[in-house]
Amino acid sequence: MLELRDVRVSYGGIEVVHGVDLSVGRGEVVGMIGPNGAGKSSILRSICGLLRPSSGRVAFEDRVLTGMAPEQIARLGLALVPEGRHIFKTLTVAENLRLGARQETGAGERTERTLTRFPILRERAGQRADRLSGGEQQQLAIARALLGRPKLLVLDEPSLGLAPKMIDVIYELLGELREEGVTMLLVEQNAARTIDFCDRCLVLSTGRVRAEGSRGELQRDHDVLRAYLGGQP
Amino acid sequence: MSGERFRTRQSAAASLLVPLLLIAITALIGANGTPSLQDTVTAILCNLIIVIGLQVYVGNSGVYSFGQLGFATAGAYVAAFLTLPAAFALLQTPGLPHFVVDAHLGSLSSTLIAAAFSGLLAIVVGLPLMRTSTLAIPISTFAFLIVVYDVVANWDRVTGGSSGLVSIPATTSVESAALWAGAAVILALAYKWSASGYRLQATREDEVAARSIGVGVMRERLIAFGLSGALCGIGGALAVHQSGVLNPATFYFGATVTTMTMLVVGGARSVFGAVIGAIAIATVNELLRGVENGASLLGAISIGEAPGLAAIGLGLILLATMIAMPGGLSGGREAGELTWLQRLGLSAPAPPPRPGAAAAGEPAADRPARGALRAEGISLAFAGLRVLNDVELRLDPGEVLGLIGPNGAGKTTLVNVLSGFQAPDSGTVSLDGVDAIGRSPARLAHDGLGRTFQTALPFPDLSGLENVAVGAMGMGAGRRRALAIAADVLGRLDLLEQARLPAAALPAGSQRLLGIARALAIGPRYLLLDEPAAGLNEAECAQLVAFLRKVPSDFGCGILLIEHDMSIVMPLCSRVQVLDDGRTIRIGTPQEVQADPAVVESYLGSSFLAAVDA
Repeated sequence: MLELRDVRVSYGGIEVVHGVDLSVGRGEVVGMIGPNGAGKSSILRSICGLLRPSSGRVAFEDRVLTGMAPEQIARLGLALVPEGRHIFKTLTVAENLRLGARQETGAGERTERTLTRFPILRERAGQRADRLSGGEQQQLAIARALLGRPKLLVLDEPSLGLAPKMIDVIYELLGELREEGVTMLLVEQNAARTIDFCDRCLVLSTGRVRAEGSRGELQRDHDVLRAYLGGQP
Repeated sequence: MSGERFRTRQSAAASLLVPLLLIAITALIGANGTPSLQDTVTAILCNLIIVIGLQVYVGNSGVYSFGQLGFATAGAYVAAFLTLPAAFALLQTPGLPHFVVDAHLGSLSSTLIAAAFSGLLAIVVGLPLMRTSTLAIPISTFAFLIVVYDVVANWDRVTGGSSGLVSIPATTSVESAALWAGAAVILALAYKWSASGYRLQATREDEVAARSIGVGVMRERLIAFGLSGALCGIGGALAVHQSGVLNPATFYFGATVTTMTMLVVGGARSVFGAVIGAIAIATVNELLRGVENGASLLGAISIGEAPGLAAIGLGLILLATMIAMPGGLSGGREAGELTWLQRLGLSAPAPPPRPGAAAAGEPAADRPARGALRAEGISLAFAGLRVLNDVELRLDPGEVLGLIGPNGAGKTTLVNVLSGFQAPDSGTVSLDGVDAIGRSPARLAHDGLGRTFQTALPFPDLSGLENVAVGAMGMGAGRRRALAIAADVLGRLDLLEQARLPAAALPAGSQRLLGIARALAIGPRYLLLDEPAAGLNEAECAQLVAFLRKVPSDFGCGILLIEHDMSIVMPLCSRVQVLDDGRTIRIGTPQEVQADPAVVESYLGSSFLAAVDA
């Protein structure tokens, strides 16, 4: 479904991603982990068109994305839930969702279904989005992305800045989406949780893929994880 | 590596010499040309000084001013008054005081007095104008420009009114204009690289973060506004002594648009940009004007008159630059920061300075080790929604106090109240026994309160090292000492190597650590950290814990730590305070808090208990 070939990213002459290959199949949940500066966010940004890779190919359902504007890519069915959420702060929750649903037929019905999944958002529908707590804002960001009926949901650190209990809530929700067959690409800091949640993970460090494998494979491969992540996963 | 912003002696020399060389070349072409070319080049150099004046304010503050040509007008009239021959003065400006008419000064002294007058005028005008918001300054300065025009156009007995002045001695030569332009370059760069210049650039990059490290935004803008006014005054004075005539419209709308175009096309953030913009646009302008008047192209095809061609051409160049190169021809960089120049080896960046042991913790050491940061009965509501409800807090220097609670509990709001960014509805805050309510964030920073933000708020266009050094400069440290303090703090965080790059190029986690380093560089006694570990992985978190553990003893400051990651809170904090729904629900040791059923229920979640038990 999503295919990256030898993608390189540079900022002002400094290459930070040195030829990364990555593929996500339909219905698959793929995670990217790795230390700060590994290039995870740069890769996500080049997938979503927020950044133009210096070379390499990004393709989504056999269409080349390189050079497309972010909004064109979004219309193809690739939805980003950005780090730090980026909801429309001064609009109400309902208005945020309406913007996510765009002007398509069936939008009302889909909004209704989404509100059933996120009961807290129904409760807060008339409130300004910046009055929501961090966890509620994250739910709003995910709900807004889902309303665009994405084929692929890209999540950049969905647990960032959330209370432990709220992280559990968000992951429960992502688990439900996985059961429904939503394809996801996920970047997280917490390696253990990500490996546990995803079907397959890539371990990145200093702009290269250092290891790749399924949950079982990576959990067996403790040396690799320790070498590139430094902790005790 | 290329594209580094780490200024060394060598790159600084390149940044200084390249614009001086450009001015010298321009002057040489003019000096050896026909008298008409000499006049043209002299006018270009005078204009260049005004563009540099614009750069000093606009480039460093990031705020547009459309009033700087008003200071050029002021400088030009003052210089003209001081040098007009008595006979002409009697005819044209009968209302002038005698001591001015009788002054008969030379070009140097009249230019210096014009500079002083324009600079003072800018300070006086800036005092109220710089208090207005970032969005209001362009409009209020524009209004000033119109006021200046109206005054000189209507004060007939003194200024000669709208018909202007003639027979002013034409004393400005190519050489003297070039010397003044060179001096303007040196002055503008010296300011940009001074502690004051860095403080102003910090406000351009992020006003909130700048205030948190003690930078008074209005004060720094005023300093640059004054300096900019003086430089524009010099440009005006030299220009009037070149042409010998002056009228109220000489430095008005047209000149404002032209000089602003030069600055934007060249790249407002650098003095180098001002110089190449002024020279390039002036050259193109001269060529277009030649065509406008019906010149022949390459001697073969002759073109008829094309009125307005120069204006259209300049407009298109401005538009094309803003679309294709938003940073201008220079990319907003000084010559020594240009990648290709660094590649040529002309401006090789040197290794970063070694951390100086002397700088460590010095700012805190000379303060008495007593007092505390205290808040009592803090209540606050936003639009009827209670965010803080009778909250009490006490932070001693030397302790690490954890502040935890669900999202939306009011933790960040409490930090905003403590650091002066938000006034509470009721309650008191005291810093070492002195009432702190009503003090500005910048003032509180001077009183020893440092903070970070949930988002890193770096100064993106400054290098990592400069980001941190500005923290010390905000406290009044000179450049050299500030850089030593910054290198020391960054060395302890293992960030010195990365700090050579502009902050925008650093990964999110490093930007966050940079924010901590910047807050520490002000030498705080109390440091408020808002989720410092967000976006760090396990290994980086462990490193951060090891660093923060040493902060109370090494820097002599207490830490208030907002953090969701219990693996950071638990080992670091001696006490933990739990907020829920704007109230304190528990204060205790980490163990006590972790075992409290109410805290588990509202915040940690039952899966946390399961993990701890396992």
